Amino acid sequence: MESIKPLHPDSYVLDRKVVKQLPRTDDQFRWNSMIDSLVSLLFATFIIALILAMVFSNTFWFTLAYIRYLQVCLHLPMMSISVPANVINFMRKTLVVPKLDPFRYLWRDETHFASFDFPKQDALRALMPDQTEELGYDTHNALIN
Amino acid sequence: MICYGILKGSLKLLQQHSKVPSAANEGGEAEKTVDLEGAKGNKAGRAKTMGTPWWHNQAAIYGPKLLSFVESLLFYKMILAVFLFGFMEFVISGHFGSRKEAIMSTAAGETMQIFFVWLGLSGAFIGLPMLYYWLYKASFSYKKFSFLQYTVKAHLSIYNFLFYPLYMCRRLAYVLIVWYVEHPVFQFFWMMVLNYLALVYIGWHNPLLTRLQNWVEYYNQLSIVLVTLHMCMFTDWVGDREV
Repeated sequence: MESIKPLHPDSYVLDRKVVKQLPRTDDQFRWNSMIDSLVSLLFATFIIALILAMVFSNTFWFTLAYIRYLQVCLHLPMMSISVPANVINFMRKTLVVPKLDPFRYLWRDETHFASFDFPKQDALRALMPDQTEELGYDTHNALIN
Repeated sequence: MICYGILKGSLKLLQQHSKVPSAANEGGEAEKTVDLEGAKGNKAGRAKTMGTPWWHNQAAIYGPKLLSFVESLLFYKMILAVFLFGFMEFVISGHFGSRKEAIMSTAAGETMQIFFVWLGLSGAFIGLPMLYYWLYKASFSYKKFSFLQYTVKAHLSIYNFLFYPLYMCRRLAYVLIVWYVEHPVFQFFWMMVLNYLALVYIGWHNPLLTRLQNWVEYYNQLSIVLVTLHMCMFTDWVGDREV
């Protein structure tokens, strides 16, 4: 305990070495492309399952059950437990399915009829938890989110 | 607390007036006519419905009208589905969009946004439960609930009937835990309590129509429990820093 020297009542000096950050390699880009391919695979299976459900069981029930429980699972990073970047990247990309919003990024188009105060909303991001922002709720705008 | 009050009150009322339908359900029809008479001012009818609350009669009069109006809307099932399955997004986006700093903005898109925020929130919190309750009071027949009782065997028990309201309350509790419980340990604890309560509800009452659907629901709930348990892996519960 002697190795911990308090500088300030709220801060302590670490008694161990901090783990080195990984060097920037091609693996990271490979991770991103893997996530992209996984998400596209997921979309493909989702659409195939939708078609199969419509053809064979003549109901949307299974699709809707899938959507509503995926919604609960994918909002878990809103908790204050910090989640690794690859997990949150995957979750952000798959959240498009339960949010029923595949055209989200079209709203960013500046030629849209309605004007949004984007600089102010960017300033307001400071009030929003980081992981919530990462999940796709990155503005205060309910139309875009 | 408000939700608890609404739920408790609606449970009491529904228990008072709920009738289990049979193959030949003349009782429901008879009660409906009595209510209508009572609402029109017939003394005998009024005497019979002395103990009933005023909205019982109102629901009997306006419920079928509302029902026919709603059924006449184009894509009304789709609208209800969007309200139900986008409930969590309505709450989250509504919370962020209704902040004072955002409301004070003067941009054209954001005034529209405020309108949609309050429309969505009021629809989700007030409109949908009210519609649900009015349809229940008005029709006395369990076939007309279309989407709000989608694959729910509501004619057997009041607890089955409350599947979708409980579904909404569960999402609301989820979001409130995320926002208003700061410490991750307690967040995790309440999240697990919520998951297990949902698990118990589905396992105990089997609210859905077929056995397969109940099993799918139960499996989904279990998978949520497993995913939530895996959130432990990202905390200090894992002692080794290099994992």
